[in-house]
Amino acid sequence: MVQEAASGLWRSEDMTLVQLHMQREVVHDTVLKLGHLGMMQFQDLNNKHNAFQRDFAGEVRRCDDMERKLRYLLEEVTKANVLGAAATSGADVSLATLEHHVEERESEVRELNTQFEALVSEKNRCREQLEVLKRDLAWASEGSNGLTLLCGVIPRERVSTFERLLFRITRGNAVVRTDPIEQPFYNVQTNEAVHKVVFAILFSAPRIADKLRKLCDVNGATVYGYADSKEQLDSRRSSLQQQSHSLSQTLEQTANRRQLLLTQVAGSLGEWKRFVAIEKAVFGTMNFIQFSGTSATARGWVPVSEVDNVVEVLREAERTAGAQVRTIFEQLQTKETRPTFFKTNSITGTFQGIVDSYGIARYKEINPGVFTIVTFPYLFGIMYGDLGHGLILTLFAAFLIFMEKSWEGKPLNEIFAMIFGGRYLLFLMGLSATYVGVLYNDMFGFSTEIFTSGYTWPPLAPGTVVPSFPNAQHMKPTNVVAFGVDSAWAETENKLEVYNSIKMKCAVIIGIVQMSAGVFLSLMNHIYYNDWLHVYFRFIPEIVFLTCTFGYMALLIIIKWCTSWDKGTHDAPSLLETMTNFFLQPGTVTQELYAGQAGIQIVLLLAAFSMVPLLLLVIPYMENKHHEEKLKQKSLRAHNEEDDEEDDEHFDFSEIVIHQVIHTIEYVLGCVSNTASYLRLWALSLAHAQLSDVLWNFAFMATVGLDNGTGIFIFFGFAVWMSATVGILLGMESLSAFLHSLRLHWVEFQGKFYYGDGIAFSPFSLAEIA
Amino acid sequence: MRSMLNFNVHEGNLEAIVHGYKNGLLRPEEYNNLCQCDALVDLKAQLQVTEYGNFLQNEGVLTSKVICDKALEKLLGEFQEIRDWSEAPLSQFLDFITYEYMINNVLKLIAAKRSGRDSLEILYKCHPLGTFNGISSMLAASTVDEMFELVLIDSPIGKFFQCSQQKDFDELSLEYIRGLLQKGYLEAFYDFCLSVGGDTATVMCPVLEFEADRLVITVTANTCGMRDLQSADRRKLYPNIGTLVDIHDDLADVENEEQLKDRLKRFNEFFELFDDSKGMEGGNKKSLEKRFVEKTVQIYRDALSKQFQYGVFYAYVKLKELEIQNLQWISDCIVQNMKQRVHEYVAITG
Repeated sequence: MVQEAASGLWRSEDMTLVQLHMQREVVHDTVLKLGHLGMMQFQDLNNKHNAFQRDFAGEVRRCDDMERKLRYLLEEVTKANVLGAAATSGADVSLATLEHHVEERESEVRELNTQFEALVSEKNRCREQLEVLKRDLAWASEGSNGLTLLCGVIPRERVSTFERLLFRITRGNAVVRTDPIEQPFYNVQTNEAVHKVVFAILFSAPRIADKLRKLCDVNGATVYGYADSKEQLDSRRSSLQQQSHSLSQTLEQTANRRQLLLTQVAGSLGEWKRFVAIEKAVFGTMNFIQFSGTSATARGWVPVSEVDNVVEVLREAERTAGAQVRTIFEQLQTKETRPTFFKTNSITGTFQGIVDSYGIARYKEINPGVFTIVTFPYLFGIMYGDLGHGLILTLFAAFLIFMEKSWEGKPLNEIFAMIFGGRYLLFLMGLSATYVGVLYNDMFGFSTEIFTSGYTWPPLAPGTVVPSFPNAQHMKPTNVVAFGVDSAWAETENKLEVYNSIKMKCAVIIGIVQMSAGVFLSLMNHIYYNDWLHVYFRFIPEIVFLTCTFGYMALLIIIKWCTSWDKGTHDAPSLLETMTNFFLQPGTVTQELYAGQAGIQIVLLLAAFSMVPLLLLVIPYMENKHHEEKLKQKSLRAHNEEDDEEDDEHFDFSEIVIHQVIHTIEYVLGCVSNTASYLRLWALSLAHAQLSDVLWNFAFMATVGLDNGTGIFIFFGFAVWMSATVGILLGMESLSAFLHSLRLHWVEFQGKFYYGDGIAFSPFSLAEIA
Repeated sequence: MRSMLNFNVHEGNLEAIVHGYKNGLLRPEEYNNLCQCDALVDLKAQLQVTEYGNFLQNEGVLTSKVICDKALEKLLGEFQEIRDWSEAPLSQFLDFITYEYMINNVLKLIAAKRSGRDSLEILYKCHPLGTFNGISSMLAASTVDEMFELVLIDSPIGKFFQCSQQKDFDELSLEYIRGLLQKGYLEAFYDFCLSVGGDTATVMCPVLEFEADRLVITVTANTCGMRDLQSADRRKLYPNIGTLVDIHDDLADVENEEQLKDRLKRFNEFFELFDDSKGMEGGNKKSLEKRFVEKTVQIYRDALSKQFQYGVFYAYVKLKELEIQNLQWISDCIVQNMKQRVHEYVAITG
């Protein structure tokens, strides 16, 4: 299939539905290789079947089982805290051999563990008994005439409950002594240390002995018999000591063997896990493939640009699997909605992400992501324009880009990973903020004279020492400053008014340009989809309405800028008043900007409002007519021949009318509200400038005034200023400007043309797993 | 008192968590999928895509008991978390929920004791929601009275033993003890809900009244044939709440099921339960218990629908409990190859 010229980032990649017929034996290798390529989205051909009625449910289950065993091994490895030797790479492992291998290792480890556990508990018992015998319980046996002694070991936390129960069960007729054991016991099951206490109970009624033993049992206590005589005591002590010693040795040997085994396993665990995960994904995908006899059929979407690679992969898989029959690769014609796919890299990916989080582009519609690369940082810059902050942002982003190689693919802190992912976006944003900062002549809230000011002081009259205050009325710049706003404005009383006027007007002009660009993009979409009805009755009314009203306003701004008001600005007409009259009192112009303004404005207003019914009525009418014609043709055809084609498109006139009414209202009102919305460019910029100005003057400059030469005040003032700059201006302000920029793109720009109702291309890819 | 004004300050978060859990209850289509499974591994795979997630992933051998235990463990985890975050009176309310399970566990232990199967094993069969400190020590006692003196006296459910004013439990049948304890429990819980007041009382009191009526009817129905039970003794088991309070004296004299049915005529919702024509399912007559359970599902779901009250916590635990029983039923049917009866689980959501 020939690839279309617009395929790529501008309009999404051409997609084609391909079908593969292959030999049963090749399927696994083919899917595996396609997974490594990651360029084919498989369609589920078995969706009539349940997840566990599919051909490879068993294999998936086997993988699950292996994963469980590997998890167990990993747990043991981390518990034993061993570091594995480098993995012995087994290139030709198959699922079956690995399964066998893992099972063997698992059962070995399990067996050793049970051995170990048995030994540990044996040793614990030995130690407990020894502890009991170590205690001198002679007082009990000597002074007891007819009293019974019961002694043993109990976990420390159970002692109080135990004693209480004991009191109740014997009705207080028992003596209990406890003595804690210094060294804790090791519990293998929980892998924790348990503190235990030796207890001795002396009671009179022998018939409750059974009950007491039971009580000990249920409370986790172990009862040990005490020696009858001194000699027996000594001999038992020494034999226990010996037993404990030999147990320790066996225990050590077992531990060593386990350690050795785990060390062998530890190195290859990661590789095994990856292998199993890949196999599981491959079998999961193979469940989508239809098998019949010895052949198999797979179907899926592939980008046209990748078709050659896919075919190559198929041939490779044939070779490795030793196929006798070649795999048949065919491209199908289909009416199904194709998935949208943009090939992005680490730079464009971020911007595409901004667009995608609003909505995936419809197949082959213009991708706003292309414009976003330029306009997003630009709009951000307008709101964030500051030379100093912009430079810091740029340097920070440059640092992230510099560290790209070493940080890519590493696990990072969640928030930081987000910032790192947007490093190129951040870099462009920083550059743009720097550029606009130079235009605004703003750096950390104060102005710098990078370019020589056009205003110069008049030469001093002879004899005067202090120059007279310049009278603004007579101040004329000798030349225009080379770039941006003249630095002389920074020290004037009406600085804010001048800046506001410039920024506000620029914001509106930029907004109208971006919105009209959006409307023109909708034209290109209509032409591309061959929808001339929408070209004439949607695009034309829209663009005429926009240009005749707010486009005209932008023009007025530029005309007013370009007109020289030499006699003073009293003659300059107020644009606000002009525009209010334009809508509310057509034909009235208090102060003319150009000759014949009143007449032109009436014409423009009429043109604009005549577009509203055009936009509202024509499309529903035409569509209804079109539908009726279709019905008529159908009924005619039905008379002649028994109709075969059942092309039943859902048509509901009221739905179309309502949709059109909503669209018209949205567009007309949107022109007003969106234009106003672009004023956020000015508002945010003003807020940023004022905030940095306040911080500079009141956090830093104020302390300079207080300082008596020691520098302490300046030190603290600078600290406050710096942390506020980083925290508020660089952190929060940049986030807010980012969000507003995002909104302007999603709502004001993309709302003009972007459908965003496509389906994302999600190929089967092993890249994320491996 | 908690009302709309201050409920969210104290319990809004926990209530929201429970509503989230509620949405995780298995849906009819998920039950359908479960019923189609041929083996427990399939069941596990189907459960993986539900709210249960990977709760079985470390289990090597699957049995219906393992599935059930793990599901209970999950419920216990959820409950424990909410209990840990709650403050009085919600924490007390949640404790009340557990008392019912404690009573059942104690009864289980008593039964084991009497039949001589009192090994430590029996503790594993206890419901995890109903364990309390010292429950294991009950095994050390030889009689019920001793159990009471030894352990139960300072356990949370000791008061239900005390309030029954019965002296020698050893003489009593297990069912009778169960009746006494449940009566005490329901009355205490009812009083507690009344003291909490507000929406909790309006929602919980009818629920508990229904439980009380259910107790009255089941006790009556189960003891119909017993000669040795005097009607006065039976009367002692009836909790003093519920819609049937008026006819308690009448019910105590009932001698067979027909009489019981006859005396319930005034109470349509209970009368229906005995109406065989409505309770048929695929030719099998449903047991009274099953019909009661189906009725309670509706009541619990109603309790879940109202905001600013504690009933949601109670209803969620109950519904989840039923869901786990369903899981057990389904997995038992799968294991024993009784696929024709697998659909007889209790429909919880719908």
